[in-house]
Amino acid sequence: MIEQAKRLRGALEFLMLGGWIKQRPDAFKTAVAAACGGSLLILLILTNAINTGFEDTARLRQLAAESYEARALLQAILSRHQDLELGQRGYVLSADPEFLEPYENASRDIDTYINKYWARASMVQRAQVQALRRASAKKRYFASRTIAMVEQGRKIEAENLIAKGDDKRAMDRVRALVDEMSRTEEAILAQRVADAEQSRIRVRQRTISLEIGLISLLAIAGLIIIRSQIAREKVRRTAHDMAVRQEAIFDCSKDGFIVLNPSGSIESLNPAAAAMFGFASQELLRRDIGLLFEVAPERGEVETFLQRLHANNKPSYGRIQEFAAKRRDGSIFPLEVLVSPVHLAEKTLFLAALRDISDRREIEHIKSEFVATVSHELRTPLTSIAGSLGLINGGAAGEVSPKVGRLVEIAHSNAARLVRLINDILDIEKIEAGRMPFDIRPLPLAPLIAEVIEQSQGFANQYGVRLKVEPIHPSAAVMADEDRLVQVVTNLLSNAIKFSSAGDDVCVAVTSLDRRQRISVRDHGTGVPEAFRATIFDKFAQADTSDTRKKGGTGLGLSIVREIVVRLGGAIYFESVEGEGSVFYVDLPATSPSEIALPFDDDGQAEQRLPLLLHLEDDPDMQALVASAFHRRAAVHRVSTVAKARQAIFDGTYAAVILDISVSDGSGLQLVKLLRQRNPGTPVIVFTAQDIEGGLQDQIDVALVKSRASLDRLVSVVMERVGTLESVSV
Amino acid sequence: MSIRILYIDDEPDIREVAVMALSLDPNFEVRTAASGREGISIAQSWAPHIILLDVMMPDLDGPSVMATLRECPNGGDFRFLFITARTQSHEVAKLRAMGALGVIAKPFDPMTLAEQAGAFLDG
Repeated sequence: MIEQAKRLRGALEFLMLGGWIKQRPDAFKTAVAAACGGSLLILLILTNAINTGFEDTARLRQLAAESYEARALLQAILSRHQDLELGQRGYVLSADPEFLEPYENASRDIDTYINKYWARASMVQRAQVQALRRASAKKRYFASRTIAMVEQGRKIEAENLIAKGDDKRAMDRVRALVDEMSRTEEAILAQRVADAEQSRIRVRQRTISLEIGLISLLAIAGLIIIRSQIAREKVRRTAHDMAVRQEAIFDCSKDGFIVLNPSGSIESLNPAAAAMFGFASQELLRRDIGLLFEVAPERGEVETFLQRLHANNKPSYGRIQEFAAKRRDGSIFPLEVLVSPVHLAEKTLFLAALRDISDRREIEHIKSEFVATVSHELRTPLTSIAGSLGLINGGAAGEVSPKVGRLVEIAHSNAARLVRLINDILDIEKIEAGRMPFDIRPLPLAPLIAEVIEQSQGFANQYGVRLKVEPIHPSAAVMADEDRLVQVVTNLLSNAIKFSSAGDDVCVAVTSLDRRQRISVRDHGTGVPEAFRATIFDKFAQADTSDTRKKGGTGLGLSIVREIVVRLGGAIYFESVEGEGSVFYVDLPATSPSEIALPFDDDGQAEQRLPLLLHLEDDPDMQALVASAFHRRAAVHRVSTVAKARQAIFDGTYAAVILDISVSDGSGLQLVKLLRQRNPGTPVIVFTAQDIEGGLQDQIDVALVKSRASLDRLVSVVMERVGTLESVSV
Repeated sequence: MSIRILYIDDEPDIREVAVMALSLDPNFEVRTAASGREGISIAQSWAPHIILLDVMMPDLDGPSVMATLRECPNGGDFRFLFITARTQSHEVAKLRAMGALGVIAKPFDPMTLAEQAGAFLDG
């Protein structure tokens, strides 16, 4: 169950944290960041390049326009010269002053145009412009000379001068120069266009390479994102699968699981948990867990418990607790609960794994009944066998021949061994099932050891072994159950005697240690064989099978000793040297002599007639106080949990029952109903520091508030009731 | 003066052994009963000084025999010793609480049984 709970806890943590983030490598983030940064940089450069391209084109367009204007200007200069010549010739031929108008317009415009051209001309072009000026001047000089001649009436002379051809040559020169200049303009433009084309190609190449880079980067980024998406999807699917699997475990488990929030209300639960309590799952959501207890815990109790669990989960983690749980129909059943914290990213929840142990309880009960019955059935015929043999052996049936006598002796000792074996099996069964009642109280060791020595003396005499006790300090005392401690020391002594040789000593000593008392039993016998040391405390462990017959042991002695010592909160060790002997140590919790309320005496007769009380109390000090208060007046069977008390009520009959309300696993009030059903006449006394709630007052005989002073009152009240009861039943 | 002692047990073999064991003491006059009912009728007519009885018997068990006899006139005079294989401390305590003088564990030691029973009478 614990394994399952752990797995579920892990799954819950995994699911609710979205664990995949933890698993992503940082490389992913770096790669995406690099791709984004690179893309941005490339885009910037690209934009810049395209911008430059646009600017270049614009400049080229401007240049072309300028070049066109320049050539138009040149054509205008030429055409003005032609106008000039036309005007001159017309005037010379017709002497009509009307022709002088275009002539005058042209000669006025020519310089303006040439100056305009000069303004934008380069150095090379300016040389050409100077040449043009000179040619133009020459042409205009001829034109003005001929016009002047016509005005002076020398028309023929003017015609001759023109015919001589100088005028035409000047005009040709102008035309040639304008053509040359136009060509120059064209060449410059062509050059500029070629340059621009060159730079355009360069920009285009750069742009293309940048675009390729950009596309590659985007492709890489895309790939990375796709890959991460795939990985993410895979993780999501895994998480989903896991959740489905865990949900299946959660839903199909026969154990109940309840997830609690820190205040103790139910967050979720599986069908088994709901079925266990007879509720529908929906009915329990958001309800307080107290609803499911037989006696609802007090306000804040669950919360405090969970807080403690959360704060120090080590000591209580994995501790299975038992509660009396209540079904919807009010029926009560024993429930085993393991609560463990589930640490999520934002909060801590608590997973309670629940198991209905009614069946187990029933089986335990059946088993113990069976063992008790079998042992009783075995002991009945053994009583006859051992009794008959004992009578013959003791001479009660008259003399027998030595041979018969020896055979009867063998049969008798083996019958006795069989009885011991049955007793030991019963003991170990009871201890292991936790059903051996332990009446733990302060015990002074000196009288106890003396008693054991006395009882074992006869056995020691059979083996010719001397028993010795080192002086024991009168204040040496331990917290233990008297009968069980006697059993422990007797078993150790019996072993020591069996493995000693005749004439050897077996020595018992008590040593005070820090908060413990050590009882040691030392022999000088054969010692424990090396190979046997590891298993010496195991059941039916014997060093040598032949020993069984020789020593007559059951093989259970030391395992009973160990079980008892462990239950008493002590420890057992041994040291041994083969051939030289062994020493067994039992360490038990020490108690100060002041805690021993009254000196113990051997008033067995009186004590045997004392009424038996059941006392439920989880504080050992209070237990001891109450027990000592009843000393010589009643025998007190002390139990510390509701579960043990319930068992005791099933197993035995008590003259009265004293209950505490708040114990580790519940409340004594849970037992009132059971007590009233089984033994309606048994007085029930509640002895507690709390108030009684829940309408049980009328079922309780007396309720007393705990305090030292009230102990006398408790004793008198209890004894009064017990007395009444006895006089009624007797 | 002889001491009348009644032994009630449903096991005939144990009864026989017990009679032999108790008869080792010449002061004891022993009678046995094979059932609780037989034991009650013998006890009423014979008035034994002490009744040794088995706890687990068919029909009427030891504690019931004791309870029945206690209710008879002069029932308070009967003294009971249980002979039982069930000797867990709370079981012993329960029997004592019901008013038994004591409990002797089965299997008993036949050579000392008479002595043990006598010890309760003296006390």
